[in-house]
Amino acid sequence: MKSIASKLMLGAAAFAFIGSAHAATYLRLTGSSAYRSAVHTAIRNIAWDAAPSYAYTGTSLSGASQAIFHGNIAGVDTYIKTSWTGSEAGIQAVAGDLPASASFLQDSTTTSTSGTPSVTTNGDTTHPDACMSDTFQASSVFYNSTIGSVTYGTLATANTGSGTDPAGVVGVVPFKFCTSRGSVITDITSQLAQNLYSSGKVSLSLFTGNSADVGTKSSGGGNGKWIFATGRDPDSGTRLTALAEIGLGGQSGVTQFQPSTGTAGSPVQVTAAGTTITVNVPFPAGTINGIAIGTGNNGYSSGGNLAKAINGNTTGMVNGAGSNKITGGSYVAYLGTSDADPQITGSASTGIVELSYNGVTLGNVAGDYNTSTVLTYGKYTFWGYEHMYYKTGLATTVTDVADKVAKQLHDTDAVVKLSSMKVSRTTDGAVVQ
Amino acid sequence: MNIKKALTTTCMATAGLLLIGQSAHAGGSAVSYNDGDIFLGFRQTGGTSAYLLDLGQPDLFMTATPGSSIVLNTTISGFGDIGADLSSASVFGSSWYTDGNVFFAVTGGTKFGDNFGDPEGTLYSTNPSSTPWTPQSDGSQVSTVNRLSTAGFRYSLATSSANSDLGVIQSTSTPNNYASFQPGGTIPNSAGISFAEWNPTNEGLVNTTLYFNQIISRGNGDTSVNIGFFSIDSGGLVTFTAAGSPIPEPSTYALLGMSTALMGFLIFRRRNVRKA
Repeated sequence: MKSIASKLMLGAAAFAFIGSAHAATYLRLTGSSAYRSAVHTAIRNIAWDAAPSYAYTGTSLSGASQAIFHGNIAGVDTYIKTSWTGSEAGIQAVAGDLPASASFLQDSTTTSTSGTPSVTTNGDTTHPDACMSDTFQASSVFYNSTIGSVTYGTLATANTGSGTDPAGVVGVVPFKFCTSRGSVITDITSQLAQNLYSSGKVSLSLFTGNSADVGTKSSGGGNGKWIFATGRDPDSGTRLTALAEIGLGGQSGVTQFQPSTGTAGSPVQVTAAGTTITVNVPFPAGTINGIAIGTGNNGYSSGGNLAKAINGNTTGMVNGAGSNKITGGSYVAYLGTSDADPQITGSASTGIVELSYNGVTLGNVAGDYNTSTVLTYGKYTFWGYEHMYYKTGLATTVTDVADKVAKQLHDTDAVVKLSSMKVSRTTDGAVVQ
Repeated sequence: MNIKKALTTTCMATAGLLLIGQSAHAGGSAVSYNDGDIFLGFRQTGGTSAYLLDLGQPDLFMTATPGSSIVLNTTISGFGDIGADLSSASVFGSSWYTDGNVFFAVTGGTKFGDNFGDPEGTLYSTNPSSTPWTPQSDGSQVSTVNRLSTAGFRYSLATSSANSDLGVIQSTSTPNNYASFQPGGTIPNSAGISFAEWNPTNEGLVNTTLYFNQIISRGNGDTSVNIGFFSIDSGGLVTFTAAGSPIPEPSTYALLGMSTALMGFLIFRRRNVRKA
């Protein structure tokens, strides 16, 4: 009898040992797609004991929607998983303790130290621990509110190690207004942007000041001299920042159109550069994370696809019907620099065109916006702070890993480091001082 | 059946109908907003609550028989007993009807045109004046509908009140609450006038009558017409009367009162003369 008891105890001890040997630390990170490239870089650059093995969806780590990193940190087996769904969606998932709207890669995903591309082993639906956000949580719908049956509390802010910078802020994220391939406009003011995103389309003459550019409509298609608004869905921090920046209000509704192929009755969203756009329709209604979004208030779920969509041929696209028919026209969209820049070629005949904003051009400075003085000295104001938030009550083993990523971004890998900025603002869209 | 008995029966039947119309509201159910829907909104000067109901598409009002009256509480499914909500301490309090601080308005519109046949940018709005609102450009009116859809999105995030499946009680500190679109509300929602469109306001005190206009933008017809008027009683019954019957002006009531007093005086005087 004694022998059996001893064996059972030994077995239990062995089981516990095996369990502890496999007790890994997990950080699941979601949120801003605009900052994914910088975050993936930062994750690889934190203090792993040895270079981590990793894998990602798609063909490049910088643009991957999901990624997994695995290795040891201070001797502890550690997984960091990312699934980028947009800032608002990230805040919603973390503040509401909900699954991310796109699942994480599974532990069993094949990884390598050189990075394994194009993996498809999604399916880890564990709720995320932390999120990156282009906006303050206080600007979000999901802040100290109850929507449906879900209550959204206040999130904790990551510790970047800075005693002076705003809590949880890891860097700055710049944005651009861009217009579609072939467009003739060069600048947009905050007033014009308010008008455009409220009404959905405005006459070209408001952008050029030329009487010959007054847009007309007719059963024959009018003269096509119209500028149409397009953009992201309400999960996007880029959208919230843009609407706050132009003075419309971060949570305001918008009137946006969808570049499409197919027919007006059965439009197909354009997601590839160079597409011939045949119809332009009010952005179809949808339901995002259980919240109904009305026609025209919806938008692209991906900034990359939005940038590619406006890099299409709009010459023959048709909007409306009968006496309200418009043929042709151009789009304006708000984009993160990482999405916009690959589609900007410097020629309106081959790529999208960056607009100056209130007369100031951010420019494409070879990807290093730390050197853009119009941004860092406050002349160009279309930017926001990038934040890392996490759930309250997370184990310190998890927050320690999150804080390492936050500090790495803050100190080194942010798109624009706070140390580069000579100006600041108190919240999204606030005065730059 | 004598007259008294008939009246009693009618009253009981009406009360029964009202009860049917206003009962069975557990509260906490999902609400929704669709492009083209019409809102009935209430707010209180200096108050901390607003109250908003989605009345649905404008068909009910546009197709009403001229001169007919519709009690919304018993006609619109889920409307319920909004008087109970409005008079509750957490909304406007028991003196909501008479304290001179609670305003209402009815507002709606469509961004892209709706099934009813309204063209893009068509607006509906109450109006304290008998002169209909002036149509604006297509873009301006679509912008106003965009503000309405912003209010609608905020409305759709909430759940219904205890007494109405369509009623939502909002805090005036919540972004894009109904009060923020009315005079004194936040910029850019109101810009000092109702929905940044109707100058100075499309509201009236709850114990007044408001005209109701359909406004078609300049590029789509350039018309604005009175389609009826709204009134509310102290119990929270909301009545829409379709245009076609005379809309009583305050001056009409004053003339009616004066003529009644004059007739009374003449009868009194004739009786006294006869007695003499």
